[in-house]
Amino acid sequence: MASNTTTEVFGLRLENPLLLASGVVGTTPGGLKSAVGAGAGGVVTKSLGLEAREGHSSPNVVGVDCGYLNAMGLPNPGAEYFADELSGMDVGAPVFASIFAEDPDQFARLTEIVSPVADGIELNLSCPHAEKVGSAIGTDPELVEKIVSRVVSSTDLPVLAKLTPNTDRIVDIGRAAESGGADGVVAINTVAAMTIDIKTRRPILGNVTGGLSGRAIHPIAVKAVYDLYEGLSVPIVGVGGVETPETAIELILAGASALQIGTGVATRELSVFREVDEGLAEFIAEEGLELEEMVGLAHHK
Amino acid sequence: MGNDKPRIREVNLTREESPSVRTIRLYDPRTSNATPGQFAMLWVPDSGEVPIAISGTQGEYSEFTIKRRGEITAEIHELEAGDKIGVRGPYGVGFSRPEGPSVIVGGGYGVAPLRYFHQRHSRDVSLETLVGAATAAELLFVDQFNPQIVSTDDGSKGHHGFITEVLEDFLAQSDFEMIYTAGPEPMMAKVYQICKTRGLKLEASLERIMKCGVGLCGSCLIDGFRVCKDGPVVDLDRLDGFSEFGRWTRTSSGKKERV
Ligand SMILES: Cc1cc2nc3c(=O)[nH]c(=O)nc-3n(C[C@H](O)[C@H](O)[C@H](O)COP(=O)(O)OP(=O)(O)OC[C@H]3O[C@@H](n4cnc5c(N)ncnc54)[C@H](O)[C@@H]3O)c2cc1C
Ligand SMILES: Cc1cc2nc3c(=O)[nH]c(=O)nc-3n(C[C@H](O)[C@H](O)[C@H](O)COP(=O)(O)O)c2cc1C
Ligand code: FES
Repeated sequence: MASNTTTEVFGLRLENPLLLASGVVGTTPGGLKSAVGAGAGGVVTKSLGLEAREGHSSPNVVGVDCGYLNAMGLPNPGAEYFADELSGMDVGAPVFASIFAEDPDQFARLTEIVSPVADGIELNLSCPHAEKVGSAIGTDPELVEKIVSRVVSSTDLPVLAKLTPNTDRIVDIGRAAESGGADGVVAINTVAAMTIDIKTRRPILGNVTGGLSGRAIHPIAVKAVYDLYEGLSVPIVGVGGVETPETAIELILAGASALQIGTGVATRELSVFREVDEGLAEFIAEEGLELEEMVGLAHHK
Repeated sequence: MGNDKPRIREVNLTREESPSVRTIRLYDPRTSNATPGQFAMLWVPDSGEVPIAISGTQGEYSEFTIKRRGEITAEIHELEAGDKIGVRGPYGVGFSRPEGPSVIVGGGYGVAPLRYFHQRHSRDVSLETLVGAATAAELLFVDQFNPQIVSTDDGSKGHHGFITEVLEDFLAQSDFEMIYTAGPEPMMAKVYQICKTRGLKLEASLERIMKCGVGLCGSCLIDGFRVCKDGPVVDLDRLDGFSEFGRWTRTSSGKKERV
């Protein structure tokens, strides 16, 4: 692994700044381990709730020319079940437990369940296609501040708030998370979207609407990270369409201290982590910079 | 990406294979070029989408052979010629091309991908087939396989019991080196044990819940391995590395369940 991409964020040492994004392959502890084996510097679990959930009816995923739409519906075996399976297992890199809930109390309970087996907490305040959770609560700055402060007081681990791009107030929401005590923010989750089959005239996703990920949303992520960097002082984790070294570097220049890769593990191979890391290391060496110095460089003339 | 959107096709013909299994044929040049063992995602609008192996091809037409299990497969059984269905794929890694005389061991609807394998390779190498089913009426494709041995759970035809019970005797009297298998996992786990003991090569087609087919969602993992993208066909070395093979599968929520 390239040593000039080793970094420290949220008090955690990362072999490289590329984390596996929530909900992609990380549905089991084995999936998390595979991503680390393929070069991920850290991993985020599938979003976990208090109860097991089967998710939405199929089709759950459909490809479009510019990316993928998904409406998984947060299937997960329940936080307790997942934590049980994860405990005693060496994933090989820092693990962020992603959690979703309807209110601050539930978030606090989930935090207590996952904290013993995780190195950090990521709050899913941003899934665009599930009722009463995700972006349904993540677009209300007051509620976001309340949730974050409840979670922060329930754990010693770093707490990250994952934000939705489906609002014109992403910076306000990021600030609310910061005032609640968040150690960082993650941007972005998928962009609300849908697709209709023109021959049968039917929406394709079982849930009718879903979230767009991949290449198409990279420029949206770049702007979100750029704006958040202007408005916030906590570190930002950039996510959305990272599939190549260039797309990773762009988000770092916009202000991301670390990155996550989701769809890239399908459009490329799991080895996307190693490939992006190598390209990033080469770029850093060529430019004669430190990784930390690159963060937010696009803001300086 | 764009290729992972369902292509709407008209059902060209349907055929009853057994009381619980039907075949549908579609014009679909992409899947008709698939490697045996690869699968497609079939979408029935307003019902849902399921992973189904390609069971044969004819020119630019592909066949899918489907057992009625729950809601979506029941909907597929209702389809008639002229009805519309969505198809995306082919996906995954299929069986390798056999290099010499080989044995096919199939059980239940698992024989679907093996029928395509047989169709593709039986002219080039000699393939001996062993098939098992619950009862005589559920034995699939016997006329095409011309099987060496059949077995039924209820004894209504052939060996009374599991096909794996007669596989060892069969292998003892022959010198095959390679087995291709698909079917219920307990059966494949037994075939795997036999191959280990006898030092034979093996490829097996695994089945897990698949919600995307493209390696994104993680619903199909076995020990962290994506069955949809890096399988469904795996070899003996790969099976050696799994702790869950033959023991655990996952439900739709991701909880472990006995296979
Ligand atoms: C790679 C692969 C190839 C397959 N090929 C064939 C084939 O050629 N012929 C055939 O008859 N069947 C095949 N199957 C199995 C088929 O996909 C399931 O029987 C079908 O999804 C059941 O859907 P349902 O709505 O009718 O039943 P449900 O009531 O939804 O489920 C019945 C059972 O089917 C399984 N199942 C449900 N959803 C899925 C899913 N999304 N993916 C996989 N399994 C599921 C579960 O074990 C469940 O308990 C294949 C499965 C895989 C993974
Ligand atoms: C199949 C799939 C499932 C996802 N599940 C979750 C989830 O459970 N929780 C979450 O916070 N984000 C989830 N996401 C969003 C991703 O973590 C990520 O924010 C988004 O896909 C953008 O990154 P990408 O373009 O690299 O995929 C999911 C995305 C996909 C494609
Ligand atoms: S079915 Fe989604 S990763 Fe395999």
